[in-house]
Amino acid sequence: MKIRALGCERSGFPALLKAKKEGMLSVGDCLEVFSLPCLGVVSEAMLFELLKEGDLLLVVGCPPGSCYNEWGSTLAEKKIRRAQNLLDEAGVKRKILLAFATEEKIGEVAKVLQDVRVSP
Amino acid sequence: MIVGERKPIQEILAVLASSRRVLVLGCGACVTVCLSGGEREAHEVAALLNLRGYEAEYGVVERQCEKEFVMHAREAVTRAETVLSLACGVGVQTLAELFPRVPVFPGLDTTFMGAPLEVGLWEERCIGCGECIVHRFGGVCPVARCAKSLLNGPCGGSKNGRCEVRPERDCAWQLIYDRMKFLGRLEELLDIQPPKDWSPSRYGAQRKTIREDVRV
Amino acid sequence: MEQALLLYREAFPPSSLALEEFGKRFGRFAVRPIGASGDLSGFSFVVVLGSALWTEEDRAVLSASLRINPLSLFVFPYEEVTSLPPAVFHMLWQGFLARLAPSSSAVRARVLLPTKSVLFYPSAEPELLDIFESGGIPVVSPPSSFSLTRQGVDFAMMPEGKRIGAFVLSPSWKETTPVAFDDETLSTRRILSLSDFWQSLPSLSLWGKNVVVLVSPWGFSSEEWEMVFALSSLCQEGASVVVLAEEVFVAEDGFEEQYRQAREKGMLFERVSLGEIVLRPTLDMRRIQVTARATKDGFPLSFSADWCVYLPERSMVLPSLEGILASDRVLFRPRVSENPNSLPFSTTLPGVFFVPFEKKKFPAFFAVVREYLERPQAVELQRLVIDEEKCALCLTCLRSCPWEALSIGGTLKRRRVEVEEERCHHCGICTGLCPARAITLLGYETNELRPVLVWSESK
Repeated sequence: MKIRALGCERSGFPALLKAKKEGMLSVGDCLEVFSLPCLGVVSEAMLFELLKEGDLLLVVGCPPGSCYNEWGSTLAEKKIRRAQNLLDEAGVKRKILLAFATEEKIGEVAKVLQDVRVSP
Repeated sequence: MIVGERKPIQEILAVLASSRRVLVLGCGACVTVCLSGGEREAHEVAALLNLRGYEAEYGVVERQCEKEFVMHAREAVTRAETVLSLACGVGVQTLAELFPRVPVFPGLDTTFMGAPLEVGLWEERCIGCGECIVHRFGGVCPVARCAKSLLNGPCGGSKNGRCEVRPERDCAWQLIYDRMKFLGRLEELLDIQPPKDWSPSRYGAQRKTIREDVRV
Repeated sequence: MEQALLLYREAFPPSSLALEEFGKRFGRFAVRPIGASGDLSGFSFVVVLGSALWTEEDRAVLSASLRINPLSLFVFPYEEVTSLPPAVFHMLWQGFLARLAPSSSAVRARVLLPTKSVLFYPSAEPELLDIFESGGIPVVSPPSSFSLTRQGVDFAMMPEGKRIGAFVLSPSWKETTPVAFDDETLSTRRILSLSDFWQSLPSLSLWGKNVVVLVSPWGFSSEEWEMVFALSSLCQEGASVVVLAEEVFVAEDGFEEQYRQAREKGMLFERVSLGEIVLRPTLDMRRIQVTARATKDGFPLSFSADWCVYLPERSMVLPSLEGILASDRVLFRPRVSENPNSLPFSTTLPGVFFVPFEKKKFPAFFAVVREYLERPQAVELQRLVIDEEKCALCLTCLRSCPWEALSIGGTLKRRRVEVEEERCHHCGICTGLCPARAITLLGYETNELRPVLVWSESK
């Protein structure tokens, strides 16, 4: 399984690296990690393009209350929800997972990945 | 501006059915501004279709209702098996007319003429009745904004300033009353408005405006 | 002929394998430690053996110090990758080098410092003024009428145009009771604020009496909590004291100890939800029946209080900035920032702070403002590109920029969206929303995302 992960520079990306180091991210066949200045950059089109190669897209960012750019994380959450709805409606069997985590608190990352492993 | 909403994906997929090569064509005017059919949205739909197994390309023209602009997409249109237009109803029809041999499908439901109130919020303001009388109501149009298009006062069914037909909308007559009160012109509302002459409006099929002084 | 420079940090020098591969990609190259960089104008590629954790801001500051285009600075996550097996390292390094492409866009990085001066509005407390002046930060006194516009990372005080680095608001403090008291209960005259209660104590006989203390979690000062703990002395005089609060304040040094001692002396503390407290006068109007529900087990609590003492709830009222902050957009006014990432005492507008209630926090407040004034801010000119021709002027970017960096400029003939570079933090929110793809953050275009790191089990 090819996992692509996208994190924001402030919290998401450092959290992803920490999660990898602690063994939370199983590499599967391949794990690619992308970084953005803020999750606010994502658009549904960008998410779909990233999903072109990859079975699963894991997006990690600052918890909404602490997004340095006010509403970057909140906007990303809405766009990801919309993108997942579009994927479901179109019958495309890919998943976009979203976790809000920081380098100090990576628990969320493990939690969202666990939910996926449970349902094949 | 014209406001529209993207059709549900399932409806789009049903209509595209067995086509393979699809061109998703957006428009750079109103539908870009209402975030439903611009380049970004065209890319979104194309990328989604690709994930679904289609061969989708995307593009945008300045205005899909103008021949000169639509012709810029000639090559892409003829290359595709099917075109999914994200323009308003006007654009879709223009496209279909200019390329009669290519199946053209609408990807957008054109809804109303309205104003962008905030980012992500658009509200209907005008229904094109052909004879604007908003000045009689302090600048609030009862034809477009009252569910019953009443011209002589509220129906009396509003609750807390909301319309009884659709409670998410404000009662237009509440707005008119408040505005006229603020302007100190409440008595004007006592003038009886005659029944509206609907002949300048859409009843009677498509309208045409001609300006002989600019025609060559 | 491409010339490349490989920069490394002393702690992570390039391995021979790395150098070999670098040489294969770039015929002519130089290798230098980051500190001793010299003239870098001849290089079309500057590759830095850095860390994956460096942010856009870090890269901008580095580009500014090296005086190169940030788009020709390529950071390889050497620190994280160097510990991987040689074959994997080789694959990643090779892949990285192969993807390097020169940029045709001219971007410049600069580092800015705010002007070292502070404006207090509407006025500053004398103690605070002393701290700032002896700390070396001049304080500007506001004239009777003035307005502020943003100028780069500074504020400019109009009409003179004097530059100010930080704008400090002295709020007023509104006090309310933590629980609503109805007229009937108030007429028992048994409800007192904590300070009034302390003052009346000498004239009260408390033997055998019940005192119920209500404390709100908002806007208290630590000194006031000390007064609450000090009520434990009443227990030694035969009174019973119960504190109903949502949380007990122990966050400062010595407070855990005060709490422990208060409990030892017999003071009771119950965690309750203030919104559920009900107060009713007894029939003889000499006592107040206080009912509440314990948060931890939902157990109903009931006290017959001879005295009901409360700590006022304090909320901050920022001074009105009507007519002072000149902005034609009502996006947001300064609010207290609840973002744990931002500096304490800061508002949502960068460079705007508010004075804390407690005087003992003044030194910390000074330190925060000083830190802000001494921290360099990186600016990348022309990093955010606006394609006027694609732009439909829908105003979505403008309305969603958290930093108010975008505005409508141009002429009456042709309006344009313009970016004020010093205020743009390159978050990219505008680029994600633009329906015409007219605004782009160079390096982060939708179709050009490249992975920073790749792990793979199979070769």
